[in-house]
Amino acid sequence: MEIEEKIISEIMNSFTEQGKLDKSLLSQINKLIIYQSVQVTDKDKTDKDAINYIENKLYDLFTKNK
Amino acid sequence: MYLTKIVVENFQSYYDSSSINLEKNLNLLLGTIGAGKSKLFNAFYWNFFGEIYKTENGWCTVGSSNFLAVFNKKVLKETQENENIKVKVVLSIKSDKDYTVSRYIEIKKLNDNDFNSEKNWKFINEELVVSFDNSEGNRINIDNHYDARDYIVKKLLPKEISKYIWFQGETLNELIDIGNGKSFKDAINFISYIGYYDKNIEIANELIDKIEKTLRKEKKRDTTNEQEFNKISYAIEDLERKLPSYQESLQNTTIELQQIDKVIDDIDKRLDDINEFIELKNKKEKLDRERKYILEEIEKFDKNISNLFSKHWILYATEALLADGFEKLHSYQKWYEENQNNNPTGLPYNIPDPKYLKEMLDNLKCYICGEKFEKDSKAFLNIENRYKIATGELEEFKQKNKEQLNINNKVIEILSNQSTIKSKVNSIKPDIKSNLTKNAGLNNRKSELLEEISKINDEITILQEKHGNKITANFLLEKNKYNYNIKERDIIKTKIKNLSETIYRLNQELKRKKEELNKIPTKSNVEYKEEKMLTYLYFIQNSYEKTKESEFNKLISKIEDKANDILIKTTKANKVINGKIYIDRDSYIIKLIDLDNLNGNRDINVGHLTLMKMCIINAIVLISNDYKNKSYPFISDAPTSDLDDGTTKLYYKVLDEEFEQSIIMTKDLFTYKDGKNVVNKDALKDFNFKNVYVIEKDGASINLTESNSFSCLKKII
Repeated sequence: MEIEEKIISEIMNSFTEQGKLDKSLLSQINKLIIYQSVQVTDKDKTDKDAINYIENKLYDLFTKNK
Repeated sequence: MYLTKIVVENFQSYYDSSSINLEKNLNLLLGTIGAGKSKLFNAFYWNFFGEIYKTENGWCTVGSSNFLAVFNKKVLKETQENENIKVKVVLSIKSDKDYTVSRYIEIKKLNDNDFNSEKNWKFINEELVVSFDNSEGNRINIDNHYDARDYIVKKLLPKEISKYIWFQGETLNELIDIGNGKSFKDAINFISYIGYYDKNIEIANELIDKIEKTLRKEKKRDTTNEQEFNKISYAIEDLERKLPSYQESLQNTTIELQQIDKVIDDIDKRLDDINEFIELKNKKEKLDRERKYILEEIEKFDKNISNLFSKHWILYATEALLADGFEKLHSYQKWYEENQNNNPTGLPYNIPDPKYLKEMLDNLKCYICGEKFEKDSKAFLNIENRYKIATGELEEFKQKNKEQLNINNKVIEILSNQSTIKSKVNSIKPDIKSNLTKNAGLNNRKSELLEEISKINDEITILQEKHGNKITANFLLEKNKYNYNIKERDIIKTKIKNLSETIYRLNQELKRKKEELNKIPTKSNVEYKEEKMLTYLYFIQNSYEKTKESEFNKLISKIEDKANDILIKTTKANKVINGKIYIDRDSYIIKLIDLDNLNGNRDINVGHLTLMKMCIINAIVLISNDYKNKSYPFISDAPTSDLDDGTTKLYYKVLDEEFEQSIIMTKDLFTYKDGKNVVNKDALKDFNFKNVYVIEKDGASINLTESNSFSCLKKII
């Protein structure tokens, strides 16, 4: 299993009290952050690029889910 | 992943080309001091990372400069002017594919001057190539130096943990500094996903900041109370500006605290050494006094013994004389008794009385037999002779007889005292024996004392070399430094506390202001996308924090469990109090605690400390393998130098069982026999070690130098 998948799975296991939050949306945002974060840690991407990328993707996601 | 073969060519102590095949599980490479173990370890490390370890310099990079450090001296010496030579190490690796990693450096000899000087050589080229078969079965060669280096670090062995996995025994203290949690924390970050979690949190925070700012901008346009909105918004921006500088200040002060902790730790160690020095000096003085007393006692005994010794020798002579004398006396007594009854008539000389002998001669008649005899007959002459003896010589005989009787009585008296005399003589022997025994005891104690004093002197010399001769004079200076730094540390701690409180207060203030801002109604009364995003991001950020903490605690517990498991397995040869390895969750400081006293540290010696560090390193590597779902070969040079024989073998057994492959270079497992070090094959058989190689020196038979000798590799089991 790749590092990203292991971390995603650990984080998802901690999502137990999400209340009214959409689990699928939570999962998508979590994946998005983790994949970018691993790329930054592995020096494949800068912090700034990763944040801009996630931000854009978040707007897409929340536009779709509006 | 495991290594299947190493080929070394002209590398350090290895001349020409040598190779060994490596197997799964434990591979032992045995060599005495100077045989070439560390050089072989360097060959592994240089092949992957282009670095070697030198005792005097630590880790050194080798490339277009410092290249002579990897070349064999013999080949450097033998190379002719204008001739090129290569140093090369090739590793064959089995992982998801069959890899070969080959690194070489080529140089040219410019002249016949000093071959140890780099200016007399020209660096030609360094090449690093990673080769493997792709899924189509075609051989791929990554021969660009930088690509090959990146491939190794990313796909084969991560550089960050390489020094734990390929572990030089001499660097043990750098890898795990028991008293300073930082090195352990770094190791944890290297092997686990904690670093990734930190990055997740950082990115989530930056994202939240950015989206909050966007939201404020959006709301500003839509607010029903612009004045209030702006006021709160400025306050938020002001807080957001202030917070990073406080956070930076906290970070810097925390670093200051770590530095001052290190300084205090160093002074503490020096003070410990000084205390140890003073204790040793006191102990030495006490031993010197005891030695003086014992020497005086020995002198007394020596004198006593020399007296007794001469007496003893006289006694030995007397004993022989007495034995001879007694024998002669016995002979005399025997002779005396025999001669008492030994006269021609068989009667005493005074019988018959001389008056009767006279009458017999006058009457010419024997009164005994009643026969008559003629004058001058044979019978007459016999009686006449007897009469003469009885009358003339009888007095003399009587006198002699009397004297003999006296002598005989004396002889009898002496002989009757024989056992008393002998026992008196013998009674002196135990005295001598007891004195000799006491003297031997004193001499033994004297030897012990001299040995103890010599050891203490050595320890004192080491401490003096470490701290200079003015070691005790430094005590006050060090103590003052210590007290000053303790005060400074308290100031820094207070500063950290104040900064933390300020940051907390500002954060609370920021939170409150943000809530106030959210309460100001908007004109359009719509729900902004950013608000929704932030709800999700706050939840995710919180989850990251919680997961990191829980993962960290789980990881520490796993390392503790694994390290303790190894500790138990390796110390079962000795009946000792081993304690339990415990990692402090706040400071990351590693402790060995007593099972009966979980709050107190145990006193530990060098052997325990080394073992504890190795247990931690092995636990880190094994858990890293587990975390990353990859197994790396554990390679180590001289990991067991401070351990006893049994613990060393049990440690190897643990490596054999726990790692897919371990490669250990060691000087242990040798035994001294017939004037030289030989491999202790019985020990190898006892533990069923299967892959054992010996590293030996070859070349010159005497006066070995780096340029006339070289290391050889030989498989023995």
